[in-house]
Amino acid sequence: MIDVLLNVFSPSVLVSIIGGVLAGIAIGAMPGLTSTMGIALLMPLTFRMPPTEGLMMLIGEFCGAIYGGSITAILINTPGTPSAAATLIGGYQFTKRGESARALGISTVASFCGGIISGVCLILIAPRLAQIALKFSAPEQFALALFGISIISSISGKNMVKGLMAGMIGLLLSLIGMDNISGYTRFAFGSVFLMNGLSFIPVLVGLFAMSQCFLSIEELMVRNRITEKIKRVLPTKQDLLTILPTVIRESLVGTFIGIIPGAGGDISAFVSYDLEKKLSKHPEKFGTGIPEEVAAPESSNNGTTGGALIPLLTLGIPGDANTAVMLGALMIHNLTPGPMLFVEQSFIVNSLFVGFMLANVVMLIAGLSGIRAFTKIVSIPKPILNPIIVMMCVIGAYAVNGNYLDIVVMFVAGIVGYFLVKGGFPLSPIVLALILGPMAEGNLRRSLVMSHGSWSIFFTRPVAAAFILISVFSFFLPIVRNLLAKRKEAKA
Amino acid sequence: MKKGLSVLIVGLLVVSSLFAQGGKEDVYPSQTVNIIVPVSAGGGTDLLVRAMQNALQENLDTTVTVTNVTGAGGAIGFAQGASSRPDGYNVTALVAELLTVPQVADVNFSYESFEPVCNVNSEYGTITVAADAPYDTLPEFIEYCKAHPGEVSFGNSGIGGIWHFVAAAFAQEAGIEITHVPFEGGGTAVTALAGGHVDAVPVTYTEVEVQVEAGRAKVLAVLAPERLPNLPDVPTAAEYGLDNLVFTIWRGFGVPLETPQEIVDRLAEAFQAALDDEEVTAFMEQRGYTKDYRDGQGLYDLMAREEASYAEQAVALGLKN
Repeated sequence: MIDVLLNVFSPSVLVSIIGGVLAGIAIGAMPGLTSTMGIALLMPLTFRMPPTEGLMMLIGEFCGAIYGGSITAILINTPGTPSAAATLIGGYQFTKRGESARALGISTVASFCGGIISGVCLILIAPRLAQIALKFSAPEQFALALFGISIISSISGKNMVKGLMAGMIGLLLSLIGMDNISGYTRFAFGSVFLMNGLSFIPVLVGLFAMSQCFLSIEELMVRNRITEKIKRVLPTKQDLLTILPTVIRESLVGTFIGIIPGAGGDISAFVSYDLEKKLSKHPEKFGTGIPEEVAAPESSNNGTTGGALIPLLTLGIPGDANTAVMLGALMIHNLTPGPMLFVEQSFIVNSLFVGFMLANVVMLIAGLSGIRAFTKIVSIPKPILNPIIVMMCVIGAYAVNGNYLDIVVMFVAGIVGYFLVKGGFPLSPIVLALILGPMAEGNLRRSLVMSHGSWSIFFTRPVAAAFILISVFSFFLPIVRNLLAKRKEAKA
Repeated sequence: MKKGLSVLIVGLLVVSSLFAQGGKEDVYPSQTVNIIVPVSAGGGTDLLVRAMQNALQENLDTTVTVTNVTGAGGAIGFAQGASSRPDGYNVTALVAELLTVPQVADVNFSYESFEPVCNVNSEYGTITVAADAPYDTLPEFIEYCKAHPGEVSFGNSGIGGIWHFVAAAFAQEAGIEITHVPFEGGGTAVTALAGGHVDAVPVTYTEVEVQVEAGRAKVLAVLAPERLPNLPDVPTAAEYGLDNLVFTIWRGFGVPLETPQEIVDRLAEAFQAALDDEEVTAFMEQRGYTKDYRDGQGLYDLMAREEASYAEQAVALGLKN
C-alpha cells in the first residue's frame, strides 16, 4: 500500500493528475468541447508516458470536464458539455440573482462528492456492481430511455403543453439521417451531410448559447450589469445541510447509470434532477434556483465517472463514451481489463484508485479557488462578452466533426432557439429528447430484431420490465397527485 | 472529433510555416500536411494514424496534422478528402468502409476517387461466440445454425457496415440462416456478446481480445488467408472448406486524383519509413495491429477485388441502392 501511495504522490503522477484535471475543466467549460473529445485529444500524449501517469491524466480530464461543464451552464446559461444540460435549469437562476458564486460553490462540492462516492463504489464493490453492465442490452436500454423521456413532463417548467411540444421537436430532429437498423435515410434530401443526422453538439450550442447571445442583443445598451460581491466561495453550512441527502442519493444514482453501457452523465443528470423534484417537499420551487437543483445533476454526472470505470476495469466493457476511448488507452499500456487485471496488475489498479480520489480532491481545490475568477465572466459587459461567446460557439460547433456545415446548423439552432424562448418554450426538453430519441428508437428496433419481432422481450426480461413499470409510474404520478389534490379541494 | 484548440493551433502553424519556409516553397513538402481521418478519435484507425504522426513529421520534415472528419459511416470524410486540392497536403486515411458505404448510400465518391498511396495495416474478421456456447468448432457451430435456422444472432456495427457484409458472406458460404443485429459500432456488439444478448460477432480479434482473455468468449475461426500470428491455434475458415471468406479490414492512405506522381511517391516513402519506425512498430505490436505494406498499385488491386465482393453481397442482402 505504501508503494502505491509513493507511486501516486510521485511528482510525475501528481503533475499528470493536476494537468489532466485542469485541462478537463477548461475543455468542459468550453461549449462544444466534451470530455470525450478531450480524452481523445490527450490520448496520443499518453502513449509515451508510463501507465500510471498516462491513465491518470485521462481520468483526471474525465472528472474535470464533467465538472467544468457546469461552470458555463451556471454563468452563461449554456451547458459546457451535454452532462451539464440539466444544471443550467436552476443554475442560471442563481446568476440572474447575482448569486453565481453560491451556485458554483454548490456545484463544485456536489461534483466532488459525486466523484468520491462513485470512487468508493468503484474501490469496494466494483466486481459485484459490474454484473449490472452485462444485464443491460437493447431491451433494458430502451426501457431506460423510455424512463428518461417520461422526465420531460417534470422539466417542462410552467407550461406543460409547451414542454411536451418542445420534446416533440427534439424527437423529430433526432429522426433526421440514416437509421441504424434498416439503413434507410430519412429527411436528408439527398445531402450527404444530413445523412449522418444532426450532430448533437452544434444543436445544443446553438439552442442555448447562440439564442442567449441573440436575446442579450436586445438589452445590449441597457446598463444593468449584474454586480456580485463575493463574500465566500465555500457553500454555507445551511446550503451544505440542504444538499447533503440530495448529494448522497444522486451520487449513487449517477454511479448506477454510469455502469450501464451506453448511458452517461447527460442522462443521469436529468434522471437525478427529476428524482429530486419528485422527492422534494417543495417541487414547485424547482426552476427558480434552489441548491438541490444544482447539487442533484452535478453530483449525479460526476457519479458516472467512477460508475463508468467499474465495468471498464472489471469486464473490459466501457460504461460510456469516455471510457470507450479509455479502453484503447488501457490496451496500449498492455493492461487488459478483466478480473485478471486486479490480480496481475494490482499495483497499477490500486494506484488508479488512489489517483481517482486524488483527482477529485484536485478538482475540488481547483474549482473552489477558481470561483472568484470564473464569476468575473458575468461582469464582463455584454458588448464584449457576446462576441467572445459567439466565437466559442463557432469553434465548438466546428470542432465536433471538422465540418463547416455544423456551424450553419449551430446558427440555425440559435435562431430557432431565440424564437422558442420568446414564445415561452423551455429548451431542456428538446435536448433531453435529442439525447434519448435515438437511444429509444434504436434499442426498440434492435430488441425486436433480437426477439424476432415479439414484443414479449420487454416483459420477460426483469430489468426491462422493471424500468418500463417505473416509467409508467413516473409519468402518471404527477397527474394522479394532481387529481387527488383536486378531489380534496372539492371535498373541503 | 476535432479539438477546437487544435483548429486554432493548426491555423497558426499553417501561417507560421508559410513564413518560416517561404524560401523553399517549390520543394514538396513546404507546408503542413493534413491527414483526414474519416472515423472518430480514439478508434482503431485514428490511434494508428496518430501513432504514425511523429515518424511522418520527422521523415517529411514538416508539420503533420490529423483531423477527424466524421459522420455517415465515414462518407463525409471520404467526400471531403476526395474533393480536396490535389497538392499533396491533403491526405485521407482510407479504410474498408470506402468500399461498403457506396454500396448502401447514394454518395458522390468511390474507391476510384482517390489516388492510392499505400496500405499500412490489414486485419481480418473472426467467428467469435460466447465461451459457454454448446459448440467448440466451426463445423459444430454451422451444424447448430442449421438445426436452428434464423435463431442464431450475429451482432454487427450497423447495417451496411463491414461486419454486416462479413457475417452475411459467412452465412451464404456456410449455407445457414442467421439474424443480423446492428449495433452502434463493433465495441457495443462485443458488449452484447459478453452479456449473452447475441450469439456471435464477426469482428477482429483485437476487438474481442479482452472478452476472450476474460473467459467470456471464444474464437472458432479466423476469416483470414492464413492463421494469425497471435492466434496460432485457431483455424481459418478456409481450413474447413469455406474459402471465399477473406474480407480484409485494410487501412491505407490516399490523395485526391491528379496529385502529381512524384508527390504520391514521396508520401508513400514517408509512410513506409513511419511503418519501420521503432516507436510505431512497438505500438503496433502492443496493440495487435498487423503490418501489411502494399504500394499504391497493391492497394488499388486489393480495393478493386474486394469492391466486387461487397457489390455482390449488397445485392444479395437487398441493400443495393
